[in-house]
Amino acid sequence: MALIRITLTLYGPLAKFAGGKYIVQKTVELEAGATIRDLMDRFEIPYDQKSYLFINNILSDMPGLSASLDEVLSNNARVGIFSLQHMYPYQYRDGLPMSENLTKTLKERSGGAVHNTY
Amino acid sequence: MAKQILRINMTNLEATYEPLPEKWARWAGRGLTSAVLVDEVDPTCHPLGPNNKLVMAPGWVSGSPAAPSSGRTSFGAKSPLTGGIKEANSGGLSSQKIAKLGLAAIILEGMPQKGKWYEIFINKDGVKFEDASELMGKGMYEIDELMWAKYENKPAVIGVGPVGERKLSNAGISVNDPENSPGRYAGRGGLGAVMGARGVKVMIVDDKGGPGVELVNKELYTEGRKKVAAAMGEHALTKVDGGLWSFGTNVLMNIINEAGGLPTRNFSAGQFEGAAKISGEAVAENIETRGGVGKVHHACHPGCIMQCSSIYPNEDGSKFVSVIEYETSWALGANCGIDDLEYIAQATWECNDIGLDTIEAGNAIAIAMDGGHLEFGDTKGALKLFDEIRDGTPLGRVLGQGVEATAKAFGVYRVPTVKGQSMPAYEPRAIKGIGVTYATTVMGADHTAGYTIAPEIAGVGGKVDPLDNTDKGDLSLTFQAATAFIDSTGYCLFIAFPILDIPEGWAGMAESVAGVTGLDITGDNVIEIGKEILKMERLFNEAAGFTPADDRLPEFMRDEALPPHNVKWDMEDAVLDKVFAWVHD
Repeated sequence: MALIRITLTLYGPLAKFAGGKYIVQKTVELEAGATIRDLMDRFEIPYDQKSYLFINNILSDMPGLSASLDEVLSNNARVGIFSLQHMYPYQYRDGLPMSENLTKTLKERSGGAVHNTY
Repeated sequence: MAKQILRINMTNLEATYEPLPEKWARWAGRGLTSAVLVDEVDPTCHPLGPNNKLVMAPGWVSGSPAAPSSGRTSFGAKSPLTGGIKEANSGGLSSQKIAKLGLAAIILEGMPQKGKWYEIFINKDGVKFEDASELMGKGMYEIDELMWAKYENKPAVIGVGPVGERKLSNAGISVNDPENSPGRYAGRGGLGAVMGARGVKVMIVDDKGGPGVELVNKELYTEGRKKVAAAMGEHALTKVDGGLWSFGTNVLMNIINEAGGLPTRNFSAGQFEGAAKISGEAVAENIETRGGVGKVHHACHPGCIMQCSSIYPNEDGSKFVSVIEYETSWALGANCGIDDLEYIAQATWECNDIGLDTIEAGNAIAIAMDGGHLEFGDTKGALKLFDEIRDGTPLGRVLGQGVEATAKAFGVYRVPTVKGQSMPAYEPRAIKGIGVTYATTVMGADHTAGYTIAPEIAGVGGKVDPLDNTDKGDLSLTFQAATAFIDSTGYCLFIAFPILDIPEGWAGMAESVAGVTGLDITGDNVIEIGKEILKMERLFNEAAGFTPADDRLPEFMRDEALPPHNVKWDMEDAVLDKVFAWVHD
């Protein structure tokens, strides 16, 4: 099976899942076709402890949602995962590029895109 | 006791107390500073001349018993940086003390004889003027210490550093914090120059024995402030051990960087490779490792329960500086290509002492770097620029005037300003919604002008779709109106986070204001009241000569694609023109 390389950065309390204190960055090898779920499972990060998640600088998930878990990762992808302590008020992400899955998820849920969800 | 206006005339050194007039009785904080300016200041006046005034007003609930996180003072004047109306608000000790003296506002007007400078002391017995010539040239750290040594009761110290003495357009107004350090600034818009132009180096406010704040409906007030406090205590961002408590506002650094919206090297990129080293997480690691007097959470005014401030220690645990905000770390760091946290701490100390707004100061240094005066990343060279500003050299005076003057001096075309004020730490090409607020707010590019309030909580639900770009104007207007209201309450704007997600908190904010004032304010009319404030301010600016052509982002943002998303500013002008079209209906 071919392998891909991912650069993963964990922020805040999530850093402890990869041996850091508040920030840790790791290069990770995964099988081709691996998803965000596989990546989080590798480090035993509980899904409900992630909040904002970026794949190649595209906002792909938010606190309380699971819009990114099935995203398939490409070789050399950069993934950043933030903890539930992190804030990202709407006015500072209003109009930002977002993944298709996250856009769809936000349109479907009550409360729309403005609320944080915990 | 009814609230009063304290009018201090610096031409003849007279202080008069006036009953709060009916026309201003419904306003406080930003609403009151703007109402006074509209009524008493000629919009075409020179900001540094005798016809401008500096108005200081605590918010509606400031000084009320147990109002959480409610120590904001609004400072208002015609801005020398933008040429328009300006409100900048600050934490620190001033708001609650002014309010507890029974004052709705202090109006500083007139100009003393040339070369005369004053120290003004205010307490329950009145106002005293003293010659301040021995204080001139001193930085705010020394001024704060001298004033607490001279006066009893740990008073509020409101002052200007050397930049304000020189009346430069990036002069802020310093307010001391509970430990009597500067660092709480009404920073933006050069209001320190307006204070300097009145000949006031420092103003001391001692509230001991003052009448306190009268509550018209104590039961309603108490119910309201408890709801606000409960929402703050519950919400993930504002609760104990929440995001602001743990990492301060600089919790945003890494997230905005991941989003590709972190202005870097004078707005030439949206991502900085050194962001993690200057982020809130890095600050917290250093504070915890160094120990001593360092604190990851710290109240900037009495009664703050969010405590997003921090105290950054030296390596030996002694106090270095408070506070390295997100905007500060970004402006002095990422936007100058600098990833050295110790430099940022030192540069923050310099800004606090000299009396500079850190956003405008960092942006001005970045412009000097873009113009070839220094290399990006040159920390030694950048620190020398603070010496130039402190010493008042010709170059220092240019830098102290802010970004636009610096850009002209160095022939730089990439000038990230709106209405003369430089942009904060959110790239509008990547984060398009905030670009609408930057462009249209009367304040000049300002990240605090439009805080998120969910349309359905604000009572305008169903009118806007946050994910539709064509609605960005309506959304920005709602945010700007909500912000104008919160800026009038005395509450910290960060209460917007919990009251967005917890509707009881939104209602509680309105109820606490209604309980203090007796005004008919509920969660349902907050936005309309906020729009009244916006309308006053907008019409002031129109009379000062502003037109829709001033509601635009700079040209380079339409021409230059911003990596990593390679996006340009492509918002139609019609969207921007619609935001305030209603003021003439």
